[in-house]
Amino acid sequence: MIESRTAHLLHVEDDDICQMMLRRAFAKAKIANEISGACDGVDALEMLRGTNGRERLPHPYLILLDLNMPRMNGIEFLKALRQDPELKKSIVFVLTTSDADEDKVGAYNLGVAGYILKSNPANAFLEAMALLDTYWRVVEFPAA
Amino acid sequence: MPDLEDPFMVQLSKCNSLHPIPGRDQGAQIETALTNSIVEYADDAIIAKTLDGNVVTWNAGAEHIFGYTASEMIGGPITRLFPADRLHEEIDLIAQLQLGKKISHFETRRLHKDGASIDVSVTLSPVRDESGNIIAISKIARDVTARNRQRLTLEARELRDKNQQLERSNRDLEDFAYIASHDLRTPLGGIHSIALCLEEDFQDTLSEESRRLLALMRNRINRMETLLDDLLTYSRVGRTDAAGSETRLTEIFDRIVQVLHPPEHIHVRVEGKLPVTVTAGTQLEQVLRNLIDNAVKHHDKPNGEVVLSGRRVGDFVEFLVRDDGPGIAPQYHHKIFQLFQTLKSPDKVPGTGMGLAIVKKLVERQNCHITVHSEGDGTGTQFRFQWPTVKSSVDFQEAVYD
Repeated sequence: MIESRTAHLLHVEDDDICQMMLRRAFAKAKIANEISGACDGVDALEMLRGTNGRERLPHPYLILLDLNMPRMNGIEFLKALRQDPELKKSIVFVLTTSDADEDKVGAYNLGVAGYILKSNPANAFLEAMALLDTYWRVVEFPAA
Repeated sequence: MPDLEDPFMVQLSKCNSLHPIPGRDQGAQIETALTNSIVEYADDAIIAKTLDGNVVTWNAGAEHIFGYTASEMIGGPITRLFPADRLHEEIDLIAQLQLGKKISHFETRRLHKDGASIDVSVTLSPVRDESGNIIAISKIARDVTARNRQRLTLEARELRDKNQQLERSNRDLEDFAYIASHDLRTPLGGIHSIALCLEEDFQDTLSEESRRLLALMRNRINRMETLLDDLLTYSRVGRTDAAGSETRLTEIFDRIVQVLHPPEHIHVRVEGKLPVTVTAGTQLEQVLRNLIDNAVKHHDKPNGEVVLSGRRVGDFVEFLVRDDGPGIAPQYHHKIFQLFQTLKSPDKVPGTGMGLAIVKKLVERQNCHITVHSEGDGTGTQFRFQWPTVKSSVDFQEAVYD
């Protein structure tokens, strides 16, 4: 059995402050799971595949994905992810400021586990963190 | 007549053969021949008619333009050429000529023998006898159908080009509003986050004053976020198409009241029956929500009510949202529907000045209108607007509110 408690978190987000806020929220709640940051879809794929000299992200992992990013946005990243036989089973949560229906439908069509709206920075990361903390304690992760 | 010969010269030579002696008489003969030649060979219709409208002469140009031969027309009424809606012109024009006026390039419509409509430009002048009495009327008519058609095509093309330009600039503006409101949110979110971190990290060391300043900053950040949210909503009005769906208005009303959660002292209710109908329900809900929210928010009396009613008018439902609040002075009525216009400082009554602008845009996208009625003297405000429905779908149900 895989010890999901040690699951790694990949935060795909181009905004440094958002990345910082997530880390703060985790630190404050004394959640020890390791967090890696990727600045866009291309960066994230390299980390997941261990290409371009990047160290490959260890299993099990969970992806927290922003949608509006340069180079490769969240929806494009999801498409690439689902087409990759190695990565297509990845668990992805969307964490974004976009409440556009087309984004929500697009993300769920690409098999995301949840769509979280970053409405208010005061709560957004705390809520995401609370959700993830429960999620990876309760949910079984796919085998590597 | 031989084709090779110049018709003018033919006429002249005829004259010459009849009157071979040069001199004053010959000059007059040439003049007559010239006139005859011009009349005969002009492209324009050149017609003489009596004062009571009977045709006296009818040239080849007239025959060509109107399709009638001289023998068909001479002696008959000129009004044969008039479409029914232009018959009155004959009397008007003759009256003007009798006053000594000349009529130049009068543009009107006449009929061809085959019934086709012809655009003509008409010049009329009186023909006088030696003592100056008007004995006939000369009429020169030019066929301007082709010219007018060309002009119309040109104008239509110009209009179409302008229309395309307008559509493009409208789209650009909407795109701009969308991108601006969307992309400004990210940096603002960052500022908001950092303000929160600072407050959190220095919780124990901040002075009362610094705490107050940070709270003020957070307040302004919140306002800016609301502003951007509303701007985004406004710019989306044109971007998302409204699909018709069965809409139970009483349910919409319930939902609005539940979300708004009006304070105890303001009674929000429905009067009469509200229809169940097929319409753009989401958009209608937004309009009603903004209007009711506005009425509740601005109510400044110890007790008050906000009343929604709807009645069917043809294929439309006409809605009325009325309150007994402070009202809006008439001089501000034109302002309230504009973007970013508020009549009170957002420090006093929260708001971005976008609510009614969104309402107006949504209503006008349905090709309907919204009007405001208020004296601004504390006797309340009424907003009235129509909303289109699918005809057979309106079905009134007894509202369960009291």
